[in-house]
Amino acid sequence: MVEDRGAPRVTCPRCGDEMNRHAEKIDTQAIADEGGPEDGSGGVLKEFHTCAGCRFVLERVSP
Amino acid sequence: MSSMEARAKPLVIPVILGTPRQGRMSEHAARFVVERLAAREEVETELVDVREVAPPVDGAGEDIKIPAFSELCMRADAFVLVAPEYNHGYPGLLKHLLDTNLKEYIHKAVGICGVSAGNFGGTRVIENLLPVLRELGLVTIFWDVNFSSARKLFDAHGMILDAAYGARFDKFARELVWMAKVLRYGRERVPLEA
Repeated sequence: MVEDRGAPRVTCPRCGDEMNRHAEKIDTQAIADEGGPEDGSGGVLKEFHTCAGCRFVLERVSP
Repeated sequence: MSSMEARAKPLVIPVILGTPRQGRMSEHAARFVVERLAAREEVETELVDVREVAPPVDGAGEDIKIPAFSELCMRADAFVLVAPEYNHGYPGLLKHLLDTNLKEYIHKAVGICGVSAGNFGGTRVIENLLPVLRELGLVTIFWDVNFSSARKLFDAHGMILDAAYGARFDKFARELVWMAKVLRYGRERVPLEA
């Protein structure tokens, strides 16, 4: 379904399909809320995955 | 997109009416937009009225998510904002509603229809919305629709009086649909490189 074979895929928590990681963003609000690792630019790096099967969008702290 | 594909996986494009004010001309513009979009085979659309969604005003940002609205945004492939220009800016409630989501918008297309009583058709509200939409992760198209002289543009039943708007809107919709298809392909199939 997705073109790239490099990075391991996240499984959609709704339907079980593979998701595609297509975006990242520094979340400056997340430090206090989620205790994620600071990336040196004043926030926490989040990544966003989309499921082609059910359209679910997953947001998580970048591991 | 073939007609079979269009039925199987339509492009979901909600139209957000951005003002709750009484006597709003933007409602007529938004209904016109919904009608034109709904006529396209590949598009599934609905009107989202900020007055009816009524986001709570005693919270902040994503803390006040409205489940039905967030779910619609997650399913959406693109958005149309119909925004009146108030003192050169956008309505506060529209911004407040948009701020309730983030991940639901990322790498999705958006087009803006400005509405104003004067001749400029909401050009300033459109310009003021652009940096907001970018920060929300949305991708703007570069066609707009400008509903000018709004008090004279619609009849007593809210029907548009200037037939030229049909062709203008269709050019806008054509680019929005193109962008929505391209971005959906990208979100679903093109990974961010390491």
